[in-house]
Amino acid sequence: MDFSVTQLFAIGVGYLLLFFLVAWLTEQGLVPARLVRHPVTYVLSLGVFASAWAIFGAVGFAHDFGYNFLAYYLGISGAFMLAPILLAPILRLTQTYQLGSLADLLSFRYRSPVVGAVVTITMLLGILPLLAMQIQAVADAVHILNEESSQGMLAFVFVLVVIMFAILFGARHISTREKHEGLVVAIAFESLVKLVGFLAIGGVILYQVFGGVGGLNQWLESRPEQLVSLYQPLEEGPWRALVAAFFVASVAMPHMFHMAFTENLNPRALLTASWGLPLYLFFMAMPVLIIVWAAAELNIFSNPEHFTLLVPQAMGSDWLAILGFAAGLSAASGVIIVCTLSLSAMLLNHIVLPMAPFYRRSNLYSWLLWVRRLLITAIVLVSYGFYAVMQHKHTLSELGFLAFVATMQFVPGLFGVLLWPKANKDGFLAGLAAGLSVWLFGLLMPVLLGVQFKLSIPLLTEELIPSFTDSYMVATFAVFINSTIFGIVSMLTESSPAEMQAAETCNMNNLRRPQRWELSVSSAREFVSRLANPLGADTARREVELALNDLAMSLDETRPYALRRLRDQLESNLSGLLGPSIAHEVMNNSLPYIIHTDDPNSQDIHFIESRLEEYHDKLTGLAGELDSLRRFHRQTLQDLPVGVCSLGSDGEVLGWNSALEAITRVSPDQILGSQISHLPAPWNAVFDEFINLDARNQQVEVELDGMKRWISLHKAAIGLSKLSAIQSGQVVVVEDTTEVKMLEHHVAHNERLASVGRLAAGVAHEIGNPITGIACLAQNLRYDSDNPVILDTAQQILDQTQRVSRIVQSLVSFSHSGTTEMAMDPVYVQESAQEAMDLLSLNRATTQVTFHNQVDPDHCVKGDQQRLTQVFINLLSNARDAMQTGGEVWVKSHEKDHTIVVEVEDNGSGIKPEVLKRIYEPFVTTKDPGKGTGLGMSLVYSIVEEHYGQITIQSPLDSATGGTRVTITLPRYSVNNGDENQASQEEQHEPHPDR
Amino acid sequence: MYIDRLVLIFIIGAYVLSPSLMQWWAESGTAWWRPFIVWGLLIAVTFWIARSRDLDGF
Repeated sequence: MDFSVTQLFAIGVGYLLLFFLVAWLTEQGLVPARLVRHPVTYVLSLGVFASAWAIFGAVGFAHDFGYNFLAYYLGISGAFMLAPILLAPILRLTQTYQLGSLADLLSFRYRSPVVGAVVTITMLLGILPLLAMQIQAVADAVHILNEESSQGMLAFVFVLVVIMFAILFGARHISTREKHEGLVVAIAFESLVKLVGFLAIGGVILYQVFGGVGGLNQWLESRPEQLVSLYQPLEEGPWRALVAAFFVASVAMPHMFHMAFTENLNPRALLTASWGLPLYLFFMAMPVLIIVWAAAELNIFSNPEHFTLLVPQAMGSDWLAILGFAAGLSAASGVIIVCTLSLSAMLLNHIVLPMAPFYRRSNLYSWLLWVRRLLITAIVLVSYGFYAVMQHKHTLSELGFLAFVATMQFVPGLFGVLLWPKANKDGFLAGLAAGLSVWLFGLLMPVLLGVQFKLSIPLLTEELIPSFTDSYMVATFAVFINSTIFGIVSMLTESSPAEMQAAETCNMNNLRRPQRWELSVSSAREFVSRLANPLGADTARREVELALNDLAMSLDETRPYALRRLRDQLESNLSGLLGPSIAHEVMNNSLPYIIHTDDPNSQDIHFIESRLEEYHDKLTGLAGELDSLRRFHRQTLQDLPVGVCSLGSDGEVLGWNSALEAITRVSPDQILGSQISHLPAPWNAVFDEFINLDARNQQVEVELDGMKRWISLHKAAIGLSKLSAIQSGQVVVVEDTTEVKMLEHHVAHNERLASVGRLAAGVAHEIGNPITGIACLAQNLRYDSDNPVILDTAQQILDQTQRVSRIVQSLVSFSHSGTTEMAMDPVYVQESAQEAMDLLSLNRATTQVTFHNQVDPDHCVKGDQQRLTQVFINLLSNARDAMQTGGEVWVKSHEKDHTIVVEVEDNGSGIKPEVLKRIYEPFVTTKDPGKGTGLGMSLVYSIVEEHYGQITIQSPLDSATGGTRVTITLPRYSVNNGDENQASQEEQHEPHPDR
Repeated sequence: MYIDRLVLIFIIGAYVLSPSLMQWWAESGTAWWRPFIVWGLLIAVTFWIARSRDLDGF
């Protein structure tokens, strides 16, 4: 049955509207994000590879060339099965450097706008037959279903709808960083439609024509020539050349590149695609032979490329024919849309932008978008023109083959991208020119124009020159001559430094060693003003903000390391917008590096380290071992208890360990990658002065938070050995010697005090005798006179001499502490404390306070009773002097395993912090002149130490009410450390448990 | 120039095995589904490998 034109138009446009609806729903966020980013969606979107050729052409190819049709599926399946190895590096490159097409990738690798332009033109020439083939497939399908319809008219309507879709859903954003989710889901949907449609056609034919699998096998046994015609072309035919061509198509075909890399929403989905796409194609290939055999069974002798529609028609199944039409329409529209998007991006970046001045446009984004939309329209219309000119003279297979062989010419270039750093643009361009010439004269012109050329090479006989009559031989020869010239020219010519750098970046498993070049700008803000010139102020500001946001940096960033990362990020982002060549040019002109020719090996160690950290769990074997060693050395340096800082020859900080962070309070994140002069004060001055100093060691005093600190600095040159990669940097070791200095000062001070003490004791001893004489004479004076004035004077002399005697006594006690023999007897703390309290209570002239002796009477320590009483006298008198009348002092104790802890607590005014720090120093007192010698606490400390005890002071106990607590810990007296007699005496006092 | 070991094994394997495979395929007679069996097996192996590894660089 013939379908009316209206019916076909309604079905076609209805289907395409459904296609629009899916894309629109996705763009509106009505399709769950999980589904949009699901690996299955990605795999189905890659099904765009199965073009109209998979629905119609493959059937014709299988009919004519037998099993060779499988090369179409197996070639690309092989490439995707190796995706984690072959395609993942390309995906990483395209995502990192925002490369949107093969032309972007190749011009990025070969650092040449010419490469980009040549690839774009080649791609356009090569892909036009493929696009024309899709239009022809749709037009043919329409013609088969309605022989009277105007193929051209319907094909033109189809083309217009496709243009609308590409513009609406494929060119919404200009930058490659923003993905077109609607496009991805719509392409996945069309892949699903063609899979279901094609499988349904195969399934229905299998059961209706052959009666199932068993029936098909019986039919094949009765028609052995069908199988022979399958195998025979395999033995003669171009199987390997075809597999290779379709293998390369995974990257070289613009629609595959676009869906696999540019519109990839989930990089990890590539792993699923490694088996998912082969599985999808497996199902797409299954119905092909069934359709071919069904055509034989139904005696259909028309163009075999139309069997997909003719067999259902012959079976009388209209809906199956419509399903075939929908599958074909779906496949053709998908390929045209995606190819056009990719080609338009290539044309924009590599042909239009280098020629059309875009500088300082205020609305750069919308200008780019509109140019791209115009290019999309132009490409689709040119494809339609190409189709119209051909006038159905060629089979789909012929046109497809032309396109695939053209894209195969990029194979040597891709080899250079991934595997051969020596390859250069001269080799690529020379090889491509040779390969393309062979393609042009050996394939394109003979196929399209019917003109045959004969190749003549001097010195070679005819037998050695491939015949141009065999298309497959021409295809192989084109790639061979391309590769050979590519290799030879690359080896004979030199790569530019930028090209070598790009080669290192692209090379698989090769860690890029970026150079630590200096930028001519000193802040992120300056980036905006520099880029405003080529991009316009608004675009420049927006792009810099975007890049800063990507790197989580602020506009105030000034670190050279960070600015280099910002420059890289900006170049990548601009590459997504303008293509890598223009982006590179813009960055080089606006933000050039200052290259120091005298320091060619200054590598960005910090960046290399951060890259290694990212990759460390991927390193295996020797690389893994070396990385473990590196991490061990790095950790050692990091945890070193002295501060270590390594500097590049230009003063950039390359290393900053944790000890240095503790000393300087500057974290590595703040300073790594900065100039040493960017350190905060006072460290900038300290380091600046030291690294410029001839001496290798220096001691400096710095003030931190109002406290003086002593810092010791040492330095050494690093990397002077020829084996080292780093040249003439410096390592600076920083030590905080404040504690050592303080200790030295303390020792010196104590030494001085001891000398003063010894001097004082000597003086006291000498003063003692005359004072005794004076006291005797004053006593005599009292007896010899009754004059009250003289008696009063004599009494005053006696008082003063007693005071002098007390001072002298204190000095003598202080100077004798630690030198005289000390008794070590059991001493009951309660008794000592009580004795001291009784003695102090006798002095009625001083402040009256209440002493509470709460010491456990059983607590016994080992020591000298006299001296311990002296300790209590000093502590209690100090407490009393610090209080008003009515104050209270408590002496308490408690025991521990081996010690007795005695606490003397008062509710006085407390001790000031500055006094507390120096309280054990001799001659330190807060009492009024003449009232204290300042030796009391010093003596207490000495006595406690002599008893192997400890003393601590807590004051104030309460910030509001004051109070002081002195805690003395003394060794507890026990039988084990006391003498045996004492032990036996105690045993006698205690009743034996058995008695 | 660094070539991944897997790629090297694949290339050598494909070179060594392809004539035998093609011969086995051509001798299949009515077993026209033989290439699909090999294809299916390759998909299964790739599925198994993909399950147990992560994508480098991501």
